[in-house]
Amino acid sequence: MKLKTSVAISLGVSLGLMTLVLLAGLLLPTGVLTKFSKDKSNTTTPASKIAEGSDTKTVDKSAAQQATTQQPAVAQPTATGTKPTTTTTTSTATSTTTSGTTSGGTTASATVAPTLTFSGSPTTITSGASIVLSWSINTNATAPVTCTATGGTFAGNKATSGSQSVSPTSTTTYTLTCTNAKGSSGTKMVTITVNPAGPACGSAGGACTSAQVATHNTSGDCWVIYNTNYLILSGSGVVGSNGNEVSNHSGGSSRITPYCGGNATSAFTSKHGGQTSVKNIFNSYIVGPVQ
Amino acid sequence: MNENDYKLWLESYGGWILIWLFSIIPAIRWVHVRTVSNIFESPVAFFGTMGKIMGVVGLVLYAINLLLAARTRWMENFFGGLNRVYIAHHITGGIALILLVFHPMFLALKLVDLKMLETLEEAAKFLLPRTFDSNGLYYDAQQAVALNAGIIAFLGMVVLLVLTFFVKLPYRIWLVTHKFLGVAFMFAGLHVILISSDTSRDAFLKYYMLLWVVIGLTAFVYRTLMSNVFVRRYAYKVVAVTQEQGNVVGISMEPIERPMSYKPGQFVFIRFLWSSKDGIIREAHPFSIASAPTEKNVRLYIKSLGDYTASLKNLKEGVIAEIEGAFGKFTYTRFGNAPQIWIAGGIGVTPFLSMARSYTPGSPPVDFVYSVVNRTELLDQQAAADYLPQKYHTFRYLPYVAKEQDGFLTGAKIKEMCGGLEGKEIFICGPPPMMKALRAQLRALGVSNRKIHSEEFAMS
Repeated sequence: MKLKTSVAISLGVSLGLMTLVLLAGLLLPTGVLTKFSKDKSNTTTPASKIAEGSDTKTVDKSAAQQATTQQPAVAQPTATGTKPTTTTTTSTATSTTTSGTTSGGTTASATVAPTLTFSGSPTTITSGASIVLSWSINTNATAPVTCTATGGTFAGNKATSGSQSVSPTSTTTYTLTCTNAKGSSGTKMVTITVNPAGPACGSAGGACTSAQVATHNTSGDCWVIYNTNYLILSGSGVVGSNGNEVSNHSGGSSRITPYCGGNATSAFTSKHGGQTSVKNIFNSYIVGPVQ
Repeated sequence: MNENDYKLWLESYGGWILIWLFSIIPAIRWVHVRTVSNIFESPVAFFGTMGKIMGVVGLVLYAINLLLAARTRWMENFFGGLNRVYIAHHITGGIALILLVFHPMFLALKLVDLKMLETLEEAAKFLLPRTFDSNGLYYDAQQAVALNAGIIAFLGMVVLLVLTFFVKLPYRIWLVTHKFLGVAFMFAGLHVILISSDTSRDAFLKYYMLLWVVIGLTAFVYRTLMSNVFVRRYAYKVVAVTQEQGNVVGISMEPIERPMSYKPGQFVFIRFLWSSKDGIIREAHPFSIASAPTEKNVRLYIKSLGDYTASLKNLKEGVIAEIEGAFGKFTYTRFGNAPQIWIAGGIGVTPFLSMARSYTPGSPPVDFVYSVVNRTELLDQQAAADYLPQKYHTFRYLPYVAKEQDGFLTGAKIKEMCGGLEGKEIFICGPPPMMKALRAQLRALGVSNRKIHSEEFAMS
């Protein structure tokens, strides 16, 4: 074929197609384009947003629903037709200070009643965490002194001083009573307030540390950090609208795998920063905040 | 293979082998970086790869194209003459254009997802210039600069090459427009250097592309922007202007300082430094030298074929000429002692006049077929007809006047006039249709293409 003819054909095809894209993309309203698209399920806007540093945790129910109904092998999730509702639960952190009461009788002046020091730190925990209870008595108490305790795993006979780690799963009051030989005793109580645990790292709304994200660094189990959140793109727990995004990524998996376990914010922004529909898909993979 | 064979091989194939090698290297590297399975993973990955490979290969060809236009004498060794360098320039330019217009098209199509037609909007925005608004599309400022430079380069290249390929502009206007392709290349270079892509991530691709950007820009600066500084030109003075038959003007010039050295059959680019009120623009045009290298003066025969050549009859003695050269590989001294046939058509006789004037007793036997339409057009009869055949029995002069014989010269007539074609080196210079027709006829008569040497300056 003559060079001039090839140039003419190439110019015609490329300029023609680009003009077509420009005309269709800029002149046709988005509604028309959407209508003629083969698939409409991707058009719901995911709204999973967890504001960092706020006491209020917003759990995206749609993400949670998708997490349970998502079939990783199916590229498109089932369209429900209704916009998912969002439930907001507010849990207020309450702090109960150590309360102690002392009771004791007065007997012979020759004896000294035990005076207790008993504390736990911290006094407010999340379920699953542990605290250390520490106690001691005044050294001039008339010996011998015996101590007993009540409350969860702490209950039982105790030495006159010591410390013990406990992991209460609900708010618990620990009581320590020490008695000397003459029957004089002292009692102190410590109440540990236990808040229910939030969603775990990896479940909807659950916070993760960047170290936790970093362990999911393979194409079959790919988590990435995006701004202040983390996303699960492949493996168990995928919530996004495009299924296993590593294998379904239209630009090929090789564009994603380098970022598995790491921060994909700048890579995503430079590639897709201007593409609203891609941004929406990406946002649909947000699971929770990164702490 | 002796040294001469090697040189001829290099002239026939060397340049083109290098062109394809240099332009395919970034494509190979790209496939290596991406791996083949990644490229064919999805239509999007394929479109993206195609678009980008076309971009890098197209840019290398664009740079090679500028290098070929630099009109340097060393490059003739890779193509067999400056005329063929310009043919390569023309072809690489066309291919670069084809690749580079598909480059943004594929990258835009990559963004279109048929399942979500609203992506068309993003593809359309991708093709438009970027704003520098930090809230706008692709707010990375460097990306915005890179993409806008690419858009400018694209539009400039398309407009300028449409003028070259499809619009017949007057030569001097076209030449001015054509020079702006170097400016378009500067933007293309900016685009490939700044763009955040595999070219910026892979060190080899990055420096390879940078190298070609530098080569292209150097060639552009050397030839177009600062040719007065870099290009060597010889100063000559016009000493005689003669009007010959058939609208031909003869111009003799003597060197003002150092004379230019050249081989018989070579040509020069010449620019006459006379004022525009004499009716001519100071632009350089190529002409074959008709004099022998041993003569002191350089002599040209120029036929009036256009505005510029027609005006040369007004040339006066004493006008200064700037000569750049000499160029060309169309010379009879390079093919050993095999008998030769020289075929001249009309004004195409000029390189043969130089060759004839340089003819020595040691030169190979020559049959000089000089074809014209009317007998009066035969130039320089003194040397060709009278002097040489009498002095050397190995030199035969065979004028062919079409009006007196039956029609145009043909391969069969040449065979008959010269007593066979076998083993002979054949040189042809004349109007392009004549050269094309004779080459085809001679090949049909069994002459190998490698034995036919022609001097084409008109680019198709």
